[in-house]
Amino acid sequence: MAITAEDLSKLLARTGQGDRQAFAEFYSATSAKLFGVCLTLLRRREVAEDVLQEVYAKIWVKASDFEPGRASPITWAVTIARNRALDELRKKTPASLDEMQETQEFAAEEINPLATMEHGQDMAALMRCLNLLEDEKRQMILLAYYRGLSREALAQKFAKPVATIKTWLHRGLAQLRTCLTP
Amino acid sequence: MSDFSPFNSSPDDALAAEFVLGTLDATERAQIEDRRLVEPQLEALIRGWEARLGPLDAAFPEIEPPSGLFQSIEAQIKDRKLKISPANDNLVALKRQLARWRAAAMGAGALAASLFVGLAVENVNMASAPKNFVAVLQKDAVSPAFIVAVDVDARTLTVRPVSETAPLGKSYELWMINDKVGAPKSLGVVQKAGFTKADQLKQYSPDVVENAVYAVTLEPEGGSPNGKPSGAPLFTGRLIQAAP
Repeated sequence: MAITAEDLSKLLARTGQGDRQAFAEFYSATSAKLFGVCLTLLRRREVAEDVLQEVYAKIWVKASDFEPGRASPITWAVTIARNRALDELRKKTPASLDEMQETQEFAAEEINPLATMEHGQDMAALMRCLNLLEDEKRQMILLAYYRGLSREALAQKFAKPVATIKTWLHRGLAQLRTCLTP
Repeated sequence: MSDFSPFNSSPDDALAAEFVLGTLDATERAQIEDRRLVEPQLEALIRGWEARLGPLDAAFPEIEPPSGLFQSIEAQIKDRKLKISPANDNLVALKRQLARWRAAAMGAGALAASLFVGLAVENVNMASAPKNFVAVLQKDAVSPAFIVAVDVDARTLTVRPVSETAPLGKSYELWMINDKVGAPKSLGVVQKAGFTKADQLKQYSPDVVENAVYAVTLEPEGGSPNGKPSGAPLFTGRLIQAAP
């Protein structure tokens, strides 16, 4: 993206004041990323398209809430998209077998943040800490974050009781927190 | 492995972590989404986890959405005012509930002059009063506790308890919560017969009023001593347009 975070912040500020042109520019600069988020989590194109529309309707409403000091505009927007996509995923009954199949194919290794390292120190630190986790804990965390797997879906995939998954998730997350604490 | 006791000291931190990770179920997510609006500590925990895990976002691919999608979005935001309800699925159920309560109110002659009926009348006249909204504040799907009616243009609000009376020595207080205006805004103590308030809402834009969460907390008698909610809300709800 040639457009900088600062540009995006300005576009959001104008969007917050009801500037449709700024909103359109924000859309063209960010929609590929946000669609990538929705599609990765939701898997089905038509659902991802619907959710993407809701995400931008929400961005239109919430643009004036954006505080440039707190997060980058793209992080802010991705968070909105991820939350909305997760809500959509959870609306349904637990994933059907077909969907599980699809998830199995999408092995955790395919999601390899290391390969796409967009660098920055935060990313490097997180990667280092993730790599310190046991393989299964790391895979669980990545599958949950990128593919929206619930505790139940993780329990199926890893053939463990849900309670065990919950314990592992909590341990893994607590380890990450400790590792990331300066 | 056993050298650490994850989250023992803070169950909310575990919830915040799983909320951000995405592993909570629909009910837990909805609870967190409501609670974070009124619990700054929880909100801070969530932000902490968003900051920790956020770098992962870099690995989401960029995929062009179909052209023409933006036109649909623009069309949506044009009539944004017409589609306030965050949960359309609830709308039908809610209307049914309202109809039932209205019937109950009509049946009870003593209530005829009450605000309850006022709400019912608004409901009947909904076509001609497109800016009237109602919220049913509840603990869960089957326990309506308070009904809030708002005329967004006039920014007047009416609240009426349906089934709750505050324990002795305590008061219920109504709040408007919208992160656009910061901390929860008190709309006053709910008396047994409900109250009508015009003042507080006037200072907020219709957009803020429409999109707020309305919540009731239990406070010391006479209301919160410091203008802030003393605890998590017991009952919450959002406005829906009282028009088809």
